[in-house]
Amino acid sequence: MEKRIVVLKKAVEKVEIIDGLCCFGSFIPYLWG
Amino acid sequence: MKLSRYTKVYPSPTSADSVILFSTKRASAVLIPKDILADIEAGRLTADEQAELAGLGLIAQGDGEERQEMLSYIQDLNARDRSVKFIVVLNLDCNLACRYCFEGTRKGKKYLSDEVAARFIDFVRGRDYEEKDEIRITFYGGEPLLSVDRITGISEQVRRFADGRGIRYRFSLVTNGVLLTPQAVKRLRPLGLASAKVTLDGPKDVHDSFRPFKGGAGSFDVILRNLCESADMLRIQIGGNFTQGNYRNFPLLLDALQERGLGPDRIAAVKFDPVVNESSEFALPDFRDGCASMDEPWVAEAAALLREEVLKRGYATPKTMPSPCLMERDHSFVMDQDGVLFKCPGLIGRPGCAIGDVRSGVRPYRESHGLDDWKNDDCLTCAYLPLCFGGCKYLKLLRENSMRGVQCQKSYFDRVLGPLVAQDIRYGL
Repeated sequence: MEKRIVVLKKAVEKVEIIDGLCCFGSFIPYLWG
Repeated sequence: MKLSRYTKVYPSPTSADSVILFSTKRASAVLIPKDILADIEAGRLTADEQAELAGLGLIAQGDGEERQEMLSYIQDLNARDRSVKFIVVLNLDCNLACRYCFEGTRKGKKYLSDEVAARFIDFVRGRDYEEKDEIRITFYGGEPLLSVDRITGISEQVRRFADGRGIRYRFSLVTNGVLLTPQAVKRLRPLGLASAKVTLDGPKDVHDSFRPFKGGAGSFDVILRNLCESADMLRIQIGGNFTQGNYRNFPLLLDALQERGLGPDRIAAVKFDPVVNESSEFALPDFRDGCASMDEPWVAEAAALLREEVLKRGYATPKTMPSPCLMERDHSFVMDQDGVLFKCPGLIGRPGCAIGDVRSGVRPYRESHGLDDWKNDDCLTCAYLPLCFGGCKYLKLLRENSMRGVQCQKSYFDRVLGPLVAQDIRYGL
């Protein structure tokens, strides 16, 4: 059977609580490294 | 198994017969024929397909299991957290006079004293380091580099303590960049300086209009010179705060950075965010150009447009993934210059939002901060929950004078998430 699922993005391996500061109200945080 | 309630379905840009599934819980995405949606509901997936979609978090056993997963999600993240973090407000002074500064009338010649510094070191020493391997401090202000001797003093002591426990110490700066000279960086690097977030609000003319020195002169050239000379010595992240009136000019900043040799090879990440109007007693009286709410349609449009410009030029920017609020981190504290403790820098200067101080310790805050208020049926059945967890408490406080309840972001996500997921896929984030 032909493969019907094309993976566009793998699942993230490591989710973290915001590390550093976010822009208040913006859901994409600044991740500090 | 069934489609996860945290899976969003978006049309495929390439085929009318296909759809994109995106998991807000795992940040995964697949392209599938529409037929598969019916097969999922009817239980007609092959074993391989079922395993693949389940592994990506796109399908789930049932609502009850996912509900439990979400209810313990933040607790699980905290259990795995290996670091103890502090944001230290060293002063509320500044060498710039930004038109929109959210600290507003809280600013002034207020500096952290020797006594508060000593109590802070005691507070750091008093934390629980069982199963921790790192101490991180973000020095914040005002302008933290006006207190460079204090950064040195605190870092020397914290580092000595960390070394004694066999754990790592690193620190970051949130700075306007005016004093981020190579000399300052060389002095601070051996003490643990790892990264700095520097703010540039668009190209020179726009930036200088929004972020001038107190005397009125522009700060853009000074900051760019420092970045050019320091960028190879530490990790630089560039942030910028846009308004409805100026965001279309921000791509010109990216061009200016590249012309000066500050390309993706020397800048770790770029991210632009909207200025939020401070509506409290601390608001600067002459500035009303920010957004009053993330629900304003231009905010979503600007966020997607500027992110595209960032990615198009090859700069890194955070991917779209679950990111619970800093307040949820058990081992994270914000200390103001007086030694008062908070869970978010936006709350400093508001005694009613404090969670204690470095002299008397931390008191319970989950209820007063409404941190469990998203644990209701509406939020638990919302596909955006893993990206939101009740929204921003600071915004909630500004708009409603209380952190209780949730700051629902559904209409914002309805507008912005599809375009952002498409960007993540297109640029391989």
